[in-house]
Amino acid sequence: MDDLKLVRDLADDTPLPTAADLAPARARLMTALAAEQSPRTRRNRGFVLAGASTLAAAAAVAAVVTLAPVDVVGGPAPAVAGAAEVLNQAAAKARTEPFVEPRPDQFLYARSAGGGESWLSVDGTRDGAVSGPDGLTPLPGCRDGVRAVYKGTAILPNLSEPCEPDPAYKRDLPTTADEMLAYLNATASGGPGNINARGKDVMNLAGSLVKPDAKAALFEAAARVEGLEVVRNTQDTTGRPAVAIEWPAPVAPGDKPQKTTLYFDPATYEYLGNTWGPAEEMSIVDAVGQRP
Amino acid sequence: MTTTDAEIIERSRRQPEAFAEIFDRHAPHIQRYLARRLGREVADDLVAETFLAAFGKRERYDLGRADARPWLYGIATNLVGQHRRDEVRRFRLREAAVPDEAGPADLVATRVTAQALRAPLADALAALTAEDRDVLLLVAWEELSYEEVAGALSIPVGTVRSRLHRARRKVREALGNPTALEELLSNG
Repeated sequence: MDDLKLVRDLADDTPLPTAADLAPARARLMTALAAEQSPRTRRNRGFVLAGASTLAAAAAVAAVVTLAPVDVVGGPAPAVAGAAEVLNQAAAKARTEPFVEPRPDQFLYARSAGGGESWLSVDGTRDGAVSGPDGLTPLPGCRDGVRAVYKGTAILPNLSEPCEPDPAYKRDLPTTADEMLAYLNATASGGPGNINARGKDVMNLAGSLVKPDAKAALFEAAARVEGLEVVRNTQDTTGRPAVAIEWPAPVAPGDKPQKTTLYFDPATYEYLGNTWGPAEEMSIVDAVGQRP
Repeated sequence: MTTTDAEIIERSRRQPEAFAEIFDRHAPHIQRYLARRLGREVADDLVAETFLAAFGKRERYDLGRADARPWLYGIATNLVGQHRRDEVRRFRLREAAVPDEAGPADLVATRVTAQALRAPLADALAALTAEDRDVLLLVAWEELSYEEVAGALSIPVGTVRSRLHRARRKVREALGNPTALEELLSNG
């Protein structure tokens, strides 16, 4: 009798989680990573921000971010105008970027800085994959409201779970600032007026595959958010020169303050990345395993 | 050549964001391990706890260990230890679980037979000491080598062997001698 095999079989029906399953855990980790910036970055920011950070603190304490704290502090308010200006420049730049609309049957290929690769179904119905320590892990597509369940790399017969397709590319994103604001409100991850959650939503969308008009609309919508700070002569997470847009950090009791930051090229205003790292190189390929 | 976990952890000491790669590489398997032991809901929470704890301890990581898996499994196993009663309750629940069967008759027969073994097996696992169960499940479910289990639990390899030996003996005793059942299983 192989008792080890029997014990193994007892665990057989537990599937590997999908990237979506792990998203909340990943977000918690990212919050901690962002809170612990490298000493070098902290020093730079502190130097550049002297004064402006007092503003941010005052604004955050007020909980509702308005222009009022500016009067309280007594300083000028160039930061707000500056942030809008940078974001509008970024929108203009985004609008000129070349783009080829992917087909529904294609895959979004991404390679992370550490060498991890992923192939995500453009329309969410085809089977994608991510590379892991044991080779490729399938990401089953969602077809007719159900998707297959895998154990490792093997499909479990007769097992499926209900689902909704999770497209890697959202075809119908709005292309004007007004519609984008409405879309951000409708899909908001935080409550009404939660400016920090809005920052993360913008950051997530900016880091995904978005057509130029929609990305421009996103930055224009962000330009209308009050209370953003612009930090010039700084560096992104990889050390490139950058101009940064910072969302105010939350000050909920017990929460570690975490700034959401978008980085842009100081000369061209190309989007460089965010708090979590540089913008990923994204390509479209025809099949899982194919590389650009 | 792919970057090793140790290289990424070393980089994360200067660039915390780099640690995200450790999560992306290993979180799926760590989450499944936690789900197998404590159920999906608890696992979703504890997988975050595991990586937050690992991130907090990255300064102390032994950079001589290229593969971070044993280290992460060790942290996850410690967290399972804080939920020991939940785990035992979960094994007891498995005894009662009856699968919703559908399919060819012979396949159903095999499954029902396997199900008949599940109850005493789950019972046996629940009855093991936590130390023995950790070793058995890291070997049987997660397919860690003896050396990796030793690294994960910070115990000598000899202790891994003796605990595994004791756990398997107890499982065999609890199952009796189900030769007939086993034959059915292998023929199914």
